[in-house]
Amino acid sequence: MRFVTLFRKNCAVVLAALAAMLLATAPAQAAKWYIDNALGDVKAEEKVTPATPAPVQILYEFQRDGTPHPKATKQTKQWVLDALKATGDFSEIVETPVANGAVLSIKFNNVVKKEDLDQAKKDGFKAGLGFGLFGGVVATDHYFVNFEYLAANGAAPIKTEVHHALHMKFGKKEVEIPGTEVKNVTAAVQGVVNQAIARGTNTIVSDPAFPK
Amino acid sequence: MLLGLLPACMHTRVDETPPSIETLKLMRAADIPPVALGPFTDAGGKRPLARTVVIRGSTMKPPKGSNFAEFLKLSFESELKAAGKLDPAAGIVVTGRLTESRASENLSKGGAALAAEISVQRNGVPVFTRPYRIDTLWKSEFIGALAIPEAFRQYNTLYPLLVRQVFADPDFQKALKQP
Repeated sequence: MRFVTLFRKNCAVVLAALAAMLLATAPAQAAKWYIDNALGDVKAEEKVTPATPAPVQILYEFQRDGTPHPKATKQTKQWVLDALKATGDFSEIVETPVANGAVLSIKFNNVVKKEDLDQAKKDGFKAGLGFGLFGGVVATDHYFVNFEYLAANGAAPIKTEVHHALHMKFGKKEVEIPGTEVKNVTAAVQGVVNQAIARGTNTIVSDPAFPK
Repeated sequence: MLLGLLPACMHTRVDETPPSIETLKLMRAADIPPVALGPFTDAGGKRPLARTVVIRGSTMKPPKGSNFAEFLKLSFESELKAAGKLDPAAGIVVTGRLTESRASENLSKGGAALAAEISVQRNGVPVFTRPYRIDTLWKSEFIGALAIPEAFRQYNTLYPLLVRQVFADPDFQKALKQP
């Protein structure tokens, strides 16, 4: 039941569905969630903040394999807005047009590698049969976060892409996960969102073409 | 265990789709004037052709108190608002007639399509009507927990793509801009 709720509330759609499948077969074992370590937080010495932050219109979309995922967009939007606000890079973040015509588009693309999914399903089924006591499964969700900033109507876009990932481990699989364990899938996805947004906007505002 | 793989029916409503930068850039580049939205209707009239999307006994319905034709209007509204091009008092009015709405899958592959006739009126005079259609195919999963939401998502996604197709049409742009 818990994972069914998670499935509805979170964007890690494939992992959550897999977790739901596992729970149906092996309720005694809990899944563990990890935020990939490669990206990390924006360090203080890396942080760039515009001298005079300006308002921006945000267009946000969660995608699955490059196509829109409206349900996940709705579920994650507030996290993205909060993360964006926390950067301090913009004076106002709204979803309607702003006077200067500035627009920031963020596309959070969850890419599911077929071979990863097939392996995870195979391992997950086996782990489920053994109630998670034998074998296990490690699944990775990849996120390619695309940022596109238009400073004004007709301005050349400033673009960047950030890659992030989260990992799920279930059962007795002995493998080192290149990530930091968090308490649940919600914290995992939120952590991925926070780090990706901070990194992406920092790269955008660092661009020489970004209005100073 | 099989019950875990083939979950009970789920019932959901179509999700509002966010405006995209692609459609916004299209509108900006075409420099379309502000427009109003008129009625969007189902071509089936009293026997709507788009009532519910059914996948493996699970259903996706339009927003509460609405129908899929009105949902298409909502998708137009969302994109126009984001581009600052929606003006309910404008003399240019865009209307729609939903002519096709379907989604299906057979445990291995799925398909969905959405079509509408879009019209433009200028000061009450019809100046443009054209059918638009968009479809998609995907590889479906055996596991219902994956296949059902994926089919709903694929169908849901057609709405903003149909809107984009309309605004990308140079003849539609011309109809909006002609004096």
